[in-house]
Amino acid sequence: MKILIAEDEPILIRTIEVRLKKDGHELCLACDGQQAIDKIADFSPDMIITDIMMPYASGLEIISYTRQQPGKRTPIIILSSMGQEDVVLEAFKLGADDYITKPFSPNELSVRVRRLLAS
Amino acid sequence: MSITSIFSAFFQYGLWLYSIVLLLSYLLIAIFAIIEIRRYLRSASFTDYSILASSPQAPGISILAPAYNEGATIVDNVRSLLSIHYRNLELIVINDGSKDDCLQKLIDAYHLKKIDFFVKRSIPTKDVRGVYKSTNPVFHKLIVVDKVNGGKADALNVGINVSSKGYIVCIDVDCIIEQDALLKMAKPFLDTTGSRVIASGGVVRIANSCEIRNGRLVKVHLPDTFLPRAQTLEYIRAFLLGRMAWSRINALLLISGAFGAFDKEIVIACGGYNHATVGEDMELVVRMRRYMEEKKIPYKVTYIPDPLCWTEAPSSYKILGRQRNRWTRGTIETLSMHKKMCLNPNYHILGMLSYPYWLLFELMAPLVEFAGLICMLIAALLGYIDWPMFFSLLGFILSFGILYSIFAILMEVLTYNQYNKSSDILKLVLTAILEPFIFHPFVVWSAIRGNIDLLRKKNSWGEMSRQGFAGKKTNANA
Amino acid sequence: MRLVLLYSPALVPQPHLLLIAMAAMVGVLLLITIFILIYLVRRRKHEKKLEDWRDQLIGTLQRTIFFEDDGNAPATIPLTFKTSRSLKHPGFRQLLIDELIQGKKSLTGTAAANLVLLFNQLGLSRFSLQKLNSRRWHIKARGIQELAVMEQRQLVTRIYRLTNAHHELVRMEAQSAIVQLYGFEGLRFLDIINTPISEWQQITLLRLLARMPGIQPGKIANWLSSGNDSVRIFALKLVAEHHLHQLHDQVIPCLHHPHPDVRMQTVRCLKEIYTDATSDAMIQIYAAQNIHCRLAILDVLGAIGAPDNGIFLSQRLAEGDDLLKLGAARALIQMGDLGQKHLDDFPLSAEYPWNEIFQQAKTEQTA
Repeated sequence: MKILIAEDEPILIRTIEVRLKKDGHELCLACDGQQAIDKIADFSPDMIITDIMMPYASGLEIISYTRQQPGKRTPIIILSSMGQEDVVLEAFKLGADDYITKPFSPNELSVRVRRLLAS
Repeated sequence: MSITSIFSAFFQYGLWLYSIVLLLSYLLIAIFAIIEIRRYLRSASFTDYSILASSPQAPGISILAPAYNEGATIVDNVRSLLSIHYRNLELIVINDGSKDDCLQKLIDAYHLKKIDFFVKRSIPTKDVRGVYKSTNPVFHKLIVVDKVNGGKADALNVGINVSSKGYIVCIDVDCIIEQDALLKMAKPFLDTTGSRVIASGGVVRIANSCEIRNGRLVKVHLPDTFLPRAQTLEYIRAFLLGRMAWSRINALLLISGAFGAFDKEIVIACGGYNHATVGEDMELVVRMRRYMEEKKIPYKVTYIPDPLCWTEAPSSYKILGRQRNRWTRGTIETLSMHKKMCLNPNYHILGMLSYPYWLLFELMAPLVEFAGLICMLIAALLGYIDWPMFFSLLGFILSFGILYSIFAILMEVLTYNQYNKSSDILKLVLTAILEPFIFHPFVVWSAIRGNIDLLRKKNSWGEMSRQGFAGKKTNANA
Repeated sequence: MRLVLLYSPALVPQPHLLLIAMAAMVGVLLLITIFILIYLVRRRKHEKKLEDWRDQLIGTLQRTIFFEDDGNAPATIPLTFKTSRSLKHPGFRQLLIDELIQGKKSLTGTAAANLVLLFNQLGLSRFSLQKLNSRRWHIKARGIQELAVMEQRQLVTRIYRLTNAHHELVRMEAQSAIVQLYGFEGLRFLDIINTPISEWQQITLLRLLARMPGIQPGKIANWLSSGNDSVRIFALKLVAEHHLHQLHDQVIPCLHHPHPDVRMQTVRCLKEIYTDATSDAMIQIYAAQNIHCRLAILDVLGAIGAPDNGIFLSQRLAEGDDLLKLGAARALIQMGDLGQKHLDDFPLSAEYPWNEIFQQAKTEQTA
């Protein structure tokens, strides 16, 4: 499956990349929000994993943009250090499918990705 | 003693004393600046600012951004401000009766709708025509206020009235603010015990010739042309050395209008920004400090040396002249409004050091300098002093000035190192050498004109046209 | 730089002395310029080296993060010969420590445990420990942070001593470190501390405690009656954050504390743990509070939404301050139809500013 990862922390983006490649996914990396939005059209991902706080555009903007696109509904996982209730609720209201707070386990992320893609 | 000899003695000894005190003050400023920057950088080296970004305990901040005829860049500017890393934030853009399509552009870009909003008039202002919020929850932090034109001070006061948070950050809407700027600006308000931090200033850097993408600074470059480059050097001296030193002894009188954070409660208690002066930014800080002194409440005004705010500097002598003219008038007006504090021990360091220093060595210096130079020239022409003496004195002073600028460049390299190419450093050194002959005389002359204009009761900003961030703009799709 | 000229034969040095001074300054100026240029060259080289080291470490870190212990022998994360050799270099070691810490802060589970495993395997704790002996406070503080993040509990005694350090920031880092290592137990220092805890420090500690089990309501109850106001405020924040309803009755007396910040925090805390008794306690103290506290009380009454508060709230609509009117209107709106009736029955509801205030409160509710 094709997964777009939007994350500005180098060690995390690499960790996620290694873990999900191991699961056999094709990955596209974006290190800021605007890059992620640009790549959604080009890459047509089957899933998006995005941080919230990123340069240029936030993860919430990415959710909102994705949900406005016609066609298939792309599952979105939020991966963020902001774990407060109101932020989580806002993300779900905008259309996120799952929310993982940092610090996180790469193995857990892998399982959640698999589960979401299966459903 | 005859009048002539009294005048001569005053001239000789007075100027000599003035010079010595001024040069010593520069040395002290350099020393205090080093101590304060070192303390700050060491503290910042192990501080995790991201804690504040996601904490529900983080204090609420309202960014106030007055906008007048900013239609060309407002959408990008607001987009950039909305991506600032801070949770408990509201961005209030105040459209100050723009004649262009500034408001309509915002309405279209951010799906704004006029809402029912009660504006409490904590501070009297011109009328508010409407308050707008976005129908898109992604932009829920944005509030746009449309008001009758009343000037920057009035626009900021409207912003204060509309704000629902405890702290306000006042910026120029076309400034580029770093994404973690608020995290750094908020910290002093939180980690000071024993006294109340009422205001915090940030360093303003020159964005001319820098690469800008979607309203965000991507790469720093030294300005291509001499005038902005000279201002770069001047800003480094003023911000990295001057303000850090004053902040060290809690005697800072001025926070830049382009970027400053304030305790809203104190701002309102003081009556907000004053539109009777063109130096409303300085006047507010002085009034806030005075208020705290009079109430005998321990307080601080802090300063952050990190490059958090980037602005376009005037690139023509005409616009630069207007700016410096206005700054001079603002300083005179502010000092005049608060002359009660001068050498008044009730105001402690504010009255006994900050005010007199600003009066003598910031305000009067261009006048003293100009008068001193003319008199020395006349004295040399008339044979009262010989030319070798004249030139050696001049050379001594120029060398000190250039050395001070080189020292400022050294501080910049050792701390933030924004201009890290050897060619840039050499350009800055050359600028430092040329500055006393080209840039500085112009600035002095503008300051003198500011004095004259104030005497002639001129009280406008003048037109501060901008050409946008000229230089290396990158295409978003590149 | 201001140009100021003067002349006095008695005071001003002779031209040749001025020329000597000028020459000296020009010399210093040239030296500084040369120093800057050399410094830049060296710094660029250093940055290039760091970049190369970072590239070198990518593989090591990924192998560490995804390391799987086969259980047969003591777990040892394999390192390349190049990495092992580079470890001799202090700069490389520090970079590795920084990367391990960055990773540890962002990851949990096996990945995080492996990072600690590598830190221990390479004996990096002794380098962090050396920092504790430094005279420079920021180096000490850095060392404390490294040891805490990398879970070096065996060194807790050394860290604990620094909770009484002379430098405030070192003390704070030591306090945070103890909490990081021992969770709630690490807050023992609150029993005896007599210096104020800054808001920043409170935010840091709350964040560290957010994911930790073992909250002890009994201890928090003691801190609620601490003589140190900042400890009280911190305790109130803990109660609020962890929704410790069982401490409601211990929190109520704080409403009468002489310090307005304590009272304010108490009101905020009660919003998270309110009971039937909360409204009356708030209403009792309302009149004696400053505007900020009053607004907070109105907010809490709105959240409680008890019908009995309707009369009190509608009386508040006549407050002098418009923000209080708005606060009362918001609270009434949250009560539903009964609150709405109070607004409609208010005699001045059609007049300014009430008309605008009520309209805003209604719009906010429906948004």
